[in-house]
Amino acid sequence: MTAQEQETIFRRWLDAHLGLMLKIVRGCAAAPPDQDDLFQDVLLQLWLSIPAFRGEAKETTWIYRVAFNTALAWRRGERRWRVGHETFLKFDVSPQSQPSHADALPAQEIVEELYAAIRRLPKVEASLALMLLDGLSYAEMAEVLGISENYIGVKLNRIRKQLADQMKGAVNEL
Amino acid sequence: MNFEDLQKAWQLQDVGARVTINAAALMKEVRRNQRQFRGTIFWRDAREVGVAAFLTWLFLHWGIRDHDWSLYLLAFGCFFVGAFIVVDRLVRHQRRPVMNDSLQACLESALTQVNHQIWLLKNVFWWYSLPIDIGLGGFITKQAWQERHAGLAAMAGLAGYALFCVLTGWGIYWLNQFAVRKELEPRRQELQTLLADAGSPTIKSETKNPTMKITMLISVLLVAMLTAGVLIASNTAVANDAPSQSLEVIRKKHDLPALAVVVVKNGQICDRAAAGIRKQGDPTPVTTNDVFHIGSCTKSMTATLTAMLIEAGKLRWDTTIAEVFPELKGKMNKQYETVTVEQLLHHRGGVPGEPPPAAWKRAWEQNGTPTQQRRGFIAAVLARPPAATPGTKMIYSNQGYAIIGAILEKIAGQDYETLITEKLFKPLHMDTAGFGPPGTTDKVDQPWGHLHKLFLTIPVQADNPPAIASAGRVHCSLDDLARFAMLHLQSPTNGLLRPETLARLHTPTGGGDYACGWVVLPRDWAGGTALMHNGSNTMWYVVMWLAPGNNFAVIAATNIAGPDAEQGCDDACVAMINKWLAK
Repeated sequence: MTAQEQETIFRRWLDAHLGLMLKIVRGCAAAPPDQDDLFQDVLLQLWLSIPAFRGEAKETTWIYRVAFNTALAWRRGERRWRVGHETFLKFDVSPQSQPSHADALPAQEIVEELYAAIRRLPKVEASLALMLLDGLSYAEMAEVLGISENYIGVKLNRIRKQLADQMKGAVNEL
Repeated sequence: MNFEDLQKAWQLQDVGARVTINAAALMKEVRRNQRQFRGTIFWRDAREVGVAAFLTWLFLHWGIRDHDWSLYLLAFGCFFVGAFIVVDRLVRHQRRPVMNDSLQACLESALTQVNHQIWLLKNVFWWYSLPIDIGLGGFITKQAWQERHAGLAAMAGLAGYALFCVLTGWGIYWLNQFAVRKELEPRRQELQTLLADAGSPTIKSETKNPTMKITMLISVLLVAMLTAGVLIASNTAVANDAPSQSLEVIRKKHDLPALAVVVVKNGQICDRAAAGIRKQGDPTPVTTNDVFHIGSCTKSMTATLTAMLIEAGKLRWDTTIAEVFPELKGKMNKQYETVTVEQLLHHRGGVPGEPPPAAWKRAWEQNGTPTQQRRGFIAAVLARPPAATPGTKMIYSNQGYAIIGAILEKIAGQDYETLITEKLFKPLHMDTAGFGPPGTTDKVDQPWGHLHKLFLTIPVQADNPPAIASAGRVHCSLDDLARFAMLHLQSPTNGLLRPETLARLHTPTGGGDYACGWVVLPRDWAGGTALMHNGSNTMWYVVMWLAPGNNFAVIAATNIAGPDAEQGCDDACVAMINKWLAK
């Protein structure tokens, strides 16, 4: 594979799946500098994984795998090989819209609370929660995680409940 | 709010819109990260393997230079550690986690890696410390054996060194165990929890594997013993086989720049050979006519010159220092006043083996004529108390022979260099004889001396200061040195000294073996006693062996000093003795 081909694929993935990558990054790291650090790790691993990508797996499955594996290996504040890099992610955290009426919870705040809830989950559960919310099928989740669909079913029931419980508390507070 | 509502809100988020990204800069950064990532890995490996390879080469080089099996052992230890790291890296590289694997597979390989790292660090003694310790142990043991007569201080030094090695080894072990506790164990716990979460059975750790340890211990010991055995055997074989070797083989074996030998039998030069190069880094070969610096062999010549002046009636064997230098009375230590010429020739005048530091420093500055330098130098030596009561003890001393040189100059009214050239070199036709480094400065028209600096061999053109010229600054070809040897073998060609004078020069006093510029030793091959002297200004080495009983002499020279130079010259002499005296 030439460097040009590698770059073409990389740019395509970035265009098509940036949202997916960012969701995983935000689901695994809370502070913006950590998110940036993890994001760069994910991008590097994706870049390095491209020569092994033969199109046998779906692109999204591939990206989920690389991103989750990177997130699992990533640890806060541990920059083993990078020195003084630029910051690439600039998250706009200001509220995008005002609530239309008083009792409706702003959608953005619900999402932020969901991220917080996901980050409180154990890491494997967190990855399942992210895929669940993204609406992946059991088969796809099984392919990403490498475990049986039955086991995923058992886990997802528990995660649904955990997320709902956590969000209930959060919603009441708001 | 139910789960479906949450999911709906989640999927409606426009995460990308809230992020600004500069694709070109990002691309650049990814590439930079990739380079840095690969660079970090590469330099880590290169550092470890590079250090091991360098140390292997260094100890091997020293081992070959000094023929020291303990250094081979150390080299082997370093090689083992380096090879172990390389093999381990290669094996681990194949099993490293692949990021596009499923989470479970990736976690499993990560856990396997961490387990392996823990195993490595827990067993650091077996694969790291032990191979190097075997080498260090061998080295220390060998040194201790060699220094067993050197007294308590040397032993204490070695013991301190051994203790330092043990403490360092312990420190390395402790650091590794600390890393296991602080870093790797928590990581393993974390990975195990993650794997349990992902519904995978735990992976058995590698930490408890006593058979592995024993296998490694035995293999390290076996290979080390084998290496040592092979090397000792090969060295012995070479040593036993010496007579059949050419000079070049001996030179190569001892890693000398050049090696030359000359043999005298029945009043003529019957054999001569030279091998190697004049100067390290220059291809010019050494020849049998080349000039070598003879160092302390100069003392034999100074003693001979003294005897010639005695025969001429200018001096007596019992002439005292005070007689020659009445002007030094009062400035000279009283005990030196009655020291005789013969005592000085026997190194029994009480003159210290080490020069007074300030005078030695001045000698190097070389202010004034050589005669003035010598007079200043010996005045400083004689002003200090002797190292022993004169006449009671043999103390090998360049200073003593410097005093003789000054005495001869004073008596003859000529500087030492002119005097010995006129009286000794010219009558013996020693046309190449001179003083200081042979040859022209910066030219390779004659051999250069060589110094060992760390692990390098550096060619030099340098010598001791003229203040001690009469103790060791002469250079000449081996043929010329052979002509001087023939004088002492009482060859009929020259009648420079009477037989009884030669006999007196060859007779030690005080129960020792040092005569006048000659060491007198019993040797079977010499048919009784042999006369020997060697010399080195730390850049050259020459040894002369004379067997008056056989009318035989062998002289070997090399343009480097040290144990290898001595052994190489000895080997060359032995080969010639076997060749010419066995018949």
